[in-house]
Amino acid sequence: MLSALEREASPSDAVLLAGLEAREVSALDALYLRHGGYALGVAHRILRDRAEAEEVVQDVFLQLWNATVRYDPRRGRFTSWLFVMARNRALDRLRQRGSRPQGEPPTGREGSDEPGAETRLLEAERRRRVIEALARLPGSQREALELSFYRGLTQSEIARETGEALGTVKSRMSRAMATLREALGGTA
Amino acid sequence: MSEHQELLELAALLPLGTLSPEDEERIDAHLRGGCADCEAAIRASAAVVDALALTVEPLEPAPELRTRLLARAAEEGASRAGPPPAPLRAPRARRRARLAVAAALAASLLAAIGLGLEVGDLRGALAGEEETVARLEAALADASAERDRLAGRLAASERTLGDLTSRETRTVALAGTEHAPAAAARAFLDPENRRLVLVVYELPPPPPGRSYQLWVIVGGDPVSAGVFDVDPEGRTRYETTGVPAVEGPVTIAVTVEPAGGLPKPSGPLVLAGS
Repeated sequence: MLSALEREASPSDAVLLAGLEAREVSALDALYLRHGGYALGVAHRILRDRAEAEEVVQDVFLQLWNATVRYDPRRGRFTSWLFVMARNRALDRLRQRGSRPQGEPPTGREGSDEPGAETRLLEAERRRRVIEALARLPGSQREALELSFYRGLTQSEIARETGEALGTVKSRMSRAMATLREALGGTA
Repeated sequence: MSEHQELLELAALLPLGTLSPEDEERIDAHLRGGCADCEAAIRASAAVVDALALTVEPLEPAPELRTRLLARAAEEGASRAGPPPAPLRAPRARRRARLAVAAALAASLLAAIGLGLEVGDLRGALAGEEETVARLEAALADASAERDRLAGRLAASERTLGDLTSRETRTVALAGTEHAPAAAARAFLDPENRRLVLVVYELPPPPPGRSYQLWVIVGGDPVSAGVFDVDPEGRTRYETTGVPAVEGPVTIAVTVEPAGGLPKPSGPLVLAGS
């Protein structure tokens, strides 16, 4: 894992993504070293299987390499895009396996096995703020948002899963996002 | 709900990456036409998704995953540093084995050099970025200095303007004499700050070795208020402090004197007014 300092001194994600376009293996390597562990964390949360999660990570990075998928910077940071990619690939695998998605929302108690460097503390602090903001949402809004974000369900799927009308799901999610926008203004 | 309101809500959910393909196509089609509101909604939600994505903690991948990924990527086509094909049809088995080992060594060496080159390229790109940052920082520093300078000038101008427009400020119009018939000037006397501002029009530059000297004359007694120059068009704005605090009648005059001026006027009068 890179420290924040090393991260600052190394090329930005945008530079590395441009390197991918130019088919430079070293750019892929650098992106993987920086974000592979994160993608693995995402896939593992859903699959609960190390080997399968690693295959997801490989798939996602190869898709990036082969430009079958493209990161769109207008939709958030590269890590957010990577989250969605890894989550969706992991869910595909889970469906193939015929199991029910796990993708439990975080409890905030998941201990880190990394030494407590300052960056880790900062990240943990930010993570705590987000988890707290989620916890303050009304239950039905939180449920809809979590089903969408962590379990990758579409709005119709959420409606089926919760037995609510599609319109209700839509407005719950919109309200949940609006509340989080307010609450996380400083973090986001 | 209006059509656009609905699109706006879809836009706000787009960064979650869980819209149905139809909804995603709808919002994409709408965005192709350009919509600042929807773009803003996406950006705001993307920030929330960035925060939500933080809730996942990374795991340390097995080292083999990196090797496997890079090998697959190289297989599927890199821009350079592809290892040369190993000679598969060597005549004899032992020779073949030796060649294969040599080829493998060469390939890994080439790959290493290639990676080195690419790392070099990236370093170059990084150095380029750093240079750009340094240049931008220098430009920013210049801009800040310029801004401070302009702010200083603006403050001074505002002070002058404030003084000139105060109730107590007295204005004296000066007319050119026969030595400078086209010239005119206006003097502003600020008794509170004992300041004088003289604005001069069409006063020809003084003869070589001479200066214009300004006088404040109270009760027939001229007091020097310093010397000044004019620009080639005969204009200037001259400002001085420490002039006598005048309450009664006052005359302002300008004479031509030896460079640097004299304690009492001696040369021809070019401008005067009371």
